[in-house]
Amino acid sequence: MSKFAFYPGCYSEGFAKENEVSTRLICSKLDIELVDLDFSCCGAGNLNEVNPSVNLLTNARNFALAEKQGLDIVTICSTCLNVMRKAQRELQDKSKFEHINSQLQKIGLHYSGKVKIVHLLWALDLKKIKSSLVKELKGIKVAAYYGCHALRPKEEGADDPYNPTTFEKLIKTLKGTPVDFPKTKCCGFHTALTYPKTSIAMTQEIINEIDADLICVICPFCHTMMDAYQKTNLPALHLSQLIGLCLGFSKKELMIDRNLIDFKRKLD
Amino acid sequence: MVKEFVLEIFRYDPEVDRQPSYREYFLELTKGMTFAQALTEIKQKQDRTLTFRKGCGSGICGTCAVKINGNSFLLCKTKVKELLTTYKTIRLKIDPLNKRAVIKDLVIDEDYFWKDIKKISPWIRSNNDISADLSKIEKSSDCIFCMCCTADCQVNQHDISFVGPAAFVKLHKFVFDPRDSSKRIKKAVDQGLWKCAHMYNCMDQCPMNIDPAEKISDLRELSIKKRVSHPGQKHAKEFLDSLKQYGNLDEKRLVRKTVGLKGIKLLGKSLKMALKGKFKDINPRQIKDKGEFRKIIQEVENE
Repeated sequence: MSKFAFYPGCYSEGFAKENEVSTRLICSKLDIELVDLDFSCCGAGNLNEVNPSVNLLTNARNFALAEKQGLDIVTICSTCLNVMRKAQRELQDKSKFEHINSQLQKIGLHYSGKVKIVHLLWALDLKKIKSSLVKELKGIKVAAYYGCHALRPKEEGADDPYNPTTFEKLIKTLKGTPVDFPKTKCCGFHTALTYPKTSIAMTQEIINEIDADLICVICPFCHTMMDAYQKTNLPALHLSQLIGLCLGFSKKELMIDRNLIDFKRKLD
Repeated sequence: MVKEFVLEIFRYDPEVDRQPSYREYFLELTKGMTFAQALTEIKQKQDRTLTFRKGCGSGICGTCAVKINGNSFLLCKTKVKELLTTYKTIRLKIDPLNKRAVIKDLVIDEDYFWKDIKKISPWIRSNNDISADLSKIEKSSDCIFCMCCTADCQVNQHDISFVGPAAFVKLHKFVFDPRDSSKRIKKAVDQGLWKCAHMYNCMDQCPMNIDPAEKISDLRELSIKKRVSHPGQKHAKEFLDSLKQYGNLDEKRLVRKTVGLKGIKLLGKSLKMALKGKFKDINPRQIKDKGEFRKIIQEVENE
């Protein structure tokens, strides 16, 4: 049994709600206890461009909340992961660390630097998944898409940014067949509102390279791009939805009907 | 330890070849061998027609960048063994930085890159004191124009109006140089400052560890302070406004503030998404101590 402070991120709490719901389902079956804390927004890489100190403050507040419970943080959003890890690195600077803690003190919190931030992909126990499988991805080709934020900057990723393999190992555990494609390229989500043409072209460039039955993503932002803004019809599932299907949850329970492209394949 | 390895190298001579091809070269790995040494060995012992750029051999002239298995590296600074280990293989693929600009094999016409650098007016405009404190621009002054960051920037590949990370690093140097008195930040926005998609390839690939993405963030922060209007600026500001009001992001307001009514047109799939229930229940979750939290945010803001 493992236990984490759960950081779904604003996007999976709202627009990509299906990701949060599916994650809670699979974690309950995989003996991962998710503890909800009163977390605030990480700033998504935008807040630090408005005010870098406030960006550190909100992230340090979240770290302190988790530390208070003696828990590490698990997230299901690659951008949150990236932002939190970068904030942690910045807070290694003594003057920033002291400055932010002097503010946190006013709301009864303290950040010590102990908390670890991990993506769900790297918090899963493959042996436990293997022993819990109800259905398998036999004969199904899966494009396991890492995207950019989970692996970059390179020293902070939990897998090799040039040649990551953990996602493929998971797909093989589900008895699926991982395929080769530009799995670490960026989907362009973060400029989708301001420069949609470029973002859509970036997504389509990746999709065009895929020969598979579905693409599986570990970030809800990537999911929006892959599900809603591709010109083809390749089903895109959240990591939590794909695992959920293999653990025997129904499409309805996993809210797969919220995805724009339906995943029709029946699993045995 | 692997003793033999294979390099698959992009070959194309537009004057002779109908189309590009890859040629395989078998080599023996020697201790500490760099890719520059490997290519030189091919040139000297196997194929004199192979063409590539080579300069100082010390990672300082920025001449020899190529793509190895899809990412940009300096030939002279990158060890063969390291990448063989990373990719768990004995075979690596070498390409030019930009296949659309090939002169021959791995040599490209760099004109497009230098045109972007020129766009940011890379010279000081000033009469100020030359003894100014230059610590803020120390890192951005390290750029060797090797093109690794720009070549690995997907936005730059899709949108030629985005001048790219190297040009913004150069611009950063002048914007934050206390001797420079010209107003550059508005022009930076016109040159695509808000087009960076935060993918951080540039950060990983810079052989000088400059972190171009961070320099772009510095420029964006300044453009917000200077109130240079742009949808990207409104988008970023909403994260602070939402945080202060709720503690979490108001997604609906983010879209509205960023693109206004245009959002409906831009998000062509909005209706489909609405029918799927995507817009239901997307009100921000309010944190319990939002009042107290707001107070310390404001204190930090006012510092």
